[in-house]
Amino acid sequence: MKGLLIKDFQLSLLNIRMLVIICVVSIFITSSSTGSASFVISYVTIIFFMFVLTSISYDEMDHSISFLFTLPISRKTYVREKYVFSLICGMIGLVFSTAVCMVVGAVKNVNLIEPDMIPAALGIYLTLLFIVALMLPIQLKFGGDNGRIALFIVFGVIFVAIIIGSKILEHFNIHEADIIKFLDLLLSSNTALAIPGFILLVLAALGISYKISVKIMEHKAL
Amino acid sequence: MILEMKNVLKQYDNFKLDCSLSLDAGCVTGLIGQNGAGKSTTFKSILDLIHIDGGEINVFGKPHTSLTNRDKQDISIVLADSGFSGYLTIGKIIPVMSAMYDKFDKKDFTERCNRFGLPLDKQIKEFSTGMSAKLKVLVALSHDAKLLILDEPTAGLDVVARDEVLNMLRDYMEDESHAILISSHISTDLEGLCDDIYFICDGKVILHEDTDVLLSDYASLKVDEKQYEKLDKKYIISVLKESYGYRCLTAQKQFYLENYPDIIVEKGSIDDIIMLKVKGETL
Repeated sequence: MKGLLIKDFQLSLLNIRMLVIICVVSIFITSSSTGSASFVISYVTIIFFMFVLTSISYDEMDHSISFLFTLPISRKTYVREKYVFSLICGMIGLVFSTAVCMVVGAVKNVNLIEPDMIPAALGIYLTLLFIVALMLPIQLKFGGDNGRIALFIVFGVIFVAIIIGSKILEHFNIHEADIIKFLDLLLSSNTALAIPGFILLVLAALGISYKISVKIMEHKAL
Repeated sequence: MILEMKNVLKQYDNFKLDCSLSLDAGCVTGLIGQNGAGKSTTFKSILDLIHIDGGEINVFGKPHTSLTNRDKQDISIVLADSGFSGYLTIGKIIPVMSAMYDKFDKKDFTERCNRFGLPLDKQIKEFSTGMSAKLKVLVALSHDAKLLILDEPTAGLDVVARDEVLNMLRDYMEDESHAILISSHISTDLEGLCDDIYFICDGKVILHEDTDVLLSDYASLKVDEKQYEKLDKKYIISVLKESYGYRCLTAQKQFYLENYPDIIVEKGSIDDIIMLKVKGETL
């Protein structure tokens, strides 16, 4: 797996120009207003998470993936590496963006990072991991480019399902505001449980997603 | 035995592979056939890149699906249409190879790359066909694998580059525990390198013979209509109608040289054998 990780980091570093742009944009945004640090953290972390999708596209370019599986790696190792790579990339994104905010804050003598942002940052990281859990099996099944189309369709279906769900709830006289109020109540009264609960939910999603991805790769002709 | 394929079946909509072959240590075995004959499918099935529908494949005495990562370190592969991402450089491949292979010899690999004029800091996609082919073979030879599987390693190479690649393979075979399975369109490459050759056509092995026998005992007989009528056909394998009469493939050159001094007997070449086996009518 170490070899695959090195390869993916080598390929991700090719997008160094993009990283520089992210850096510049981050500094620009954080400098423009004091309340934008959480936006920068989410934005940069998302971009870093995207590297895992790019790595799948690189693997599929010019049938490179056939050759990769002639190396001493199993299909399971390949899948595991993609999950580990996304965890590391997300973490780097989170640390990098927080560091940028802190540096900009120090230069401008403004406290951009508040202590209460830590659970929020953790929430962003976990939410993105949840999305990764959804995305990776689709990407591995349909490939880099087709996977993106499939992903749009899946998110479209989820969006439509939410609209339909809310219409049905409205039919039963339960409104969006009621749900938000209920969730707020649930989270504020059980803060101690909410975070571990969310972590467990994300871990479960990653576990299921990993199993599905392994099955997909084991049946894939290369 | 290093590699054994027994009645391996792979069914596609318009193609069926049904292949058996074996490879011993110290041997170079060639696989030859037209485009679409099933060479790449055979390689992919050995490497478990595609799942087979029947038969069995054993590598180092183990089912190919049970090979561990350690076992896979003893296999090196050159695929015709696939390799490391073109966006990487040789310099970036080195740490990947170091992490994957216990026996990867970084110093030797770098020296060989320098000797063959392959720049370490240039993206592979910028390489010429010859440079890419040489790199693929150098990567395959870099970790002391016991089995080398090469799908068209000399495709698109000029004569000099081809010779360099073939010499690298000859050097590799100086160790008798090594073995090579190679496919090529260029029959002269195989004539000079292989101990035995499998001819594959429409997914089936149509001929398997030692290269020495192919070159010494096989012949193409050129005969006109009259000569053909009188010809003893018991040693004729296949016949192809030509403008001057017939061209016949035999594995008993000496018999026809001695008994039919008036006919043209041309020494067998792999190209002739393929042509007559594929296009000719089998007797």
